[in-house]
Amino acid sequence: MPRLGTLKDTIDDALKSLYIGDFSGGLNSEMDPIDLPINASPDCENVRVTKGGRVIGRDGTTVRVSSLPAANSDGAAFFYDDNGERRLVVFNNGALYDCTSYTAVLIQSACYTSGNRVAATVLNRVLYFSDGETITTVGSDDSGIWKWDPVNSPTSASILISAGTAGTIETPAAKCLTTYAGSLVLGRIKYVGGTYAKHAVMWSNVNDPTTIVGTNIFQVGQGQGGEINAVVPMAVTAVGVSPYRAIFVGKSEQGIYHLKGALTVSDLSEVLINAPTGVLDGATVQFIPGVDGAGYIVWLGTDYKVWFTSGVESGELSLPIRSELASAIQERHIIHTDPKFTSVRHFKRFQYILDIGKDENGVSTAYVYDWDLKIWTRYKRFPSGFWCEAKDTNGQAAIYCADGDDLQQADTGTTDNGTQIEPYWKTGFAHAELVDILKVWHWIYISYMTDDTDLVITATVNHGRGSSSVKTIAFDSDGSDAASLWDEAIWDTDTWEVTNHEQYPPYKRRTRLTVETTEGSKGLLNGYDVQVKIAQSSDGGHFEILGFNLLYLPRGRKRVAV
Amino acid sequence: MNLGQMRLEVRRAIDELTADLWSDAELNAWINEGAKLMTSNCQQTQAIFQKTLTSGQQEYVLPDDVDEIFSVYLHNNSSNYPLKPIKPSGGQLGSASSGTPGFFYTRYNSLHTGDHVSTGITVTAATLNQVEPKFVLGLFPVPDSAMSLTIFYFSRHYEMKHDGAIPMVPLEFRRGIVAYATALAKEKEMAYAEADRKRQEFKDFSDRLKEKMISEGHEMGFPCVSLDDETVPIYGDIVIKFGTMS
Repeated sequence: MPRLGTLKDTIDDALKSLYIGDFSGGLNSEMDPIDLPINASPDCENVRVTKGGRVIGRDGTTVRVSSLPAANSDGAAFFYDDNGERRLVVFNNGALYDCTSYTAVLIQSACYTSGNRVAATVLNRVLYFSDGETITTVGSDDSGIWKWDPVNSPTSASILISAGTAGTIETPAAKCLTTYAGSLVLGRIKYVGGTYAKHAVMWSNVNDPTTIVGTNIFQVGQGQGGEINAVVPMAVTAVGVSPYRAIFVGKSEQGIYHLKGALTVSDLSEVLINAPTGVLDGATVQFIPGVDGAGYIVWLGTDYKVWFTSGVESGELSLPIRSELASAIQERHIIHTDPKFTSVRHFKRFQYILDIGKDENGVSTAYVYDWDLKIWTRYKRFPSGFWCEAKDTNGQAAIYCADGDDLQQADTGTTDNGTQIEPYWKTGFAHAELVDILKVWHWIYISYMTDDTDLVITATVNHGRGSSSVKTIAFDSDGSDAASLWDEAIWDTDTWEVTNHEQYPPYKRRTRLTVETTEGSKGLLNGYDVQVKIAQSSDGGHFEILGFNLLYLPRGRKRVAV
Repeated sequence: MNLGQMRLEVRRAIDELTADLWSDAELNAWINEGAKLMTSNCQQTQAIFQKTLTSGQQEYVLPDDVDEIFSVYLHNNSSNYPLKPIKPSGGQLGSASSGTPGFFYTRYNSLHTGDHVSTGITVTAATLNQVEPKFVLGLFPVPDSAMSLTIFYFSRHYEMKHDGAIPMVPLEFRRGIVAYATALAKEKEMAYAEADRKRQEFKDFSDRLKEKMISEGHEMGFPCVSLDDETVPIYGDIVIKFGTMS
């Protein structure tokens, strides 16, 4: 029966909608992209996700200190001195530099051997550090640990000289340093004289790091599983377990432990953690908060997976990126003789940032775990090296990285030292719940916030291998400038005015998903599923996606085998 | 409303002010197609073509804008008289093959080029005609002298190429052309129901224009039927929308 021309058949023409407004699934390159939840991405880069599910381009990086003497730094640390002043230091070329004011001020030369990684910790507002190998002799004193007290000795550091009391040994060097219950704790020992105790932990008297009694030593893991490469304080919490504090100890081959009890030989005991791995690099170990209020130690395992433990329970954290991560680490082992893997906690963003170094093209990669949302994302061209958590001049959380011969502040600014950040988000193969029905993809409506960025949208059908529609949504402010979040507000009895605090205005734009046809004209994108990549043009700018809507028309044809 | 303005109207209807899925050239083609269909249906525009016949030549190529012939007159010895239409085959009869034409026929050129040789007609070239087939008018009997022929016909709409080109359709009916182009655009977008609605809108405009032409006394071509070997107009009762006439 012919169609009545005067009647519109709404069923035929009504476009259906596939709305994606939540990106809280994060990066998930492990799952089959056709089964991926719509809020997750098989491939996203240089973006982070907010609690509400928006996707935002990460902030940039800024070089604060450049051209340090040696090509690669060996560590970095931040602490407050006894006057409450910020202190940001870098270990480079065997020397200690104070970089607090973003100028490298030499504090102490020849305080470790250049090229050796430096471990540092703070006890009573004094910085203690050691490379685990170098024993320094000053006069009649030998020591493997240095200290810097900026208040009492602002222009130089000194070796940590043993008190020399009965039973006290000369201060050994240690690959791992931390503080615990007022004591300086050393892991993977090298005694003055050159003897090693690679499976041992030692500790000083409380509030007296000059007194390290030779018998205050604990062998972890009965000498099995490689040397100790991580010693980190933690709190053990689990259902049915009274919380207690402990020391996480990782071994370089196999074995994860925590030490419980007071720091005495008779009280201290070890608990083997049920994680079938070791610690690939001690610099990857961090104690992070969990969403349930408990704390978790996370680390990069010798099996190239990221693990977590509460001290009682443990498991793999990197499942969504398991293969990708393992492959990247394997590559680093191939191209670098001694690859380093480091990490930092970024409390401002609720992030554990795992820095796996640079690839053969010199491009760094970091895998970022958001402990608030429990998701991963990937950063490229982020700084890579030795990290430290710090506070900026306003007391806000900041992170610094001793990257090569630079000291960089990460997650600040709008570019990577002038280079565009290039964030993007790619969806899985969205089939709009009609897997075997051919669809004509008509429109994408996108809501986003920006200052001046152009969006580049690439929609590809049929498992990312069919035809593509590549569209650029040029920035058009419509005359609306960045709007103030607020101008002034009354609180208590006063009027508070905020200036220079702007938010990016939201925009809603659309584009038709057209493709060039072989005939030279244009047609609409059609296929069974679609994968959408939203990226930024080379102009850069603020990248923040609120959501997007794909309008399509099912055409009713069944999928055929190809 | 000129070509550019009509295209803008189409773009508004298809929600694409800046060319993307539909190019300007594509829309221009559909607007021209709509204009030609509307003028063809309404037989609104008329034209005259005069030709001096050549003795012995039976067929003459008509101008490209000929849509439909409604009268053919022969001027012979200072007087005009109309020719009667016949089927093309009637023009190939052997008797009275030469003289003063009394009939005419029309046909489209074959896509083949033929040649008459001693063994019969042979096809010397069998290529597709790359342009529109030529509309030719044949006379019977074949003229034996240089007489003058006057052809009255409904013309096709001209091809609008420049945005300033104004269609020959009255202003109030040009939205029908817009509807036609919109219908084709909607079909490309696979919005078939929308396309149907726009096509109906075009038909409404076209029919109303035809009624207007009739009511204004505009000369129209009437349906023809074939009787025996002749094609003649229907005389007698003709049913038109407003009643009957004889």
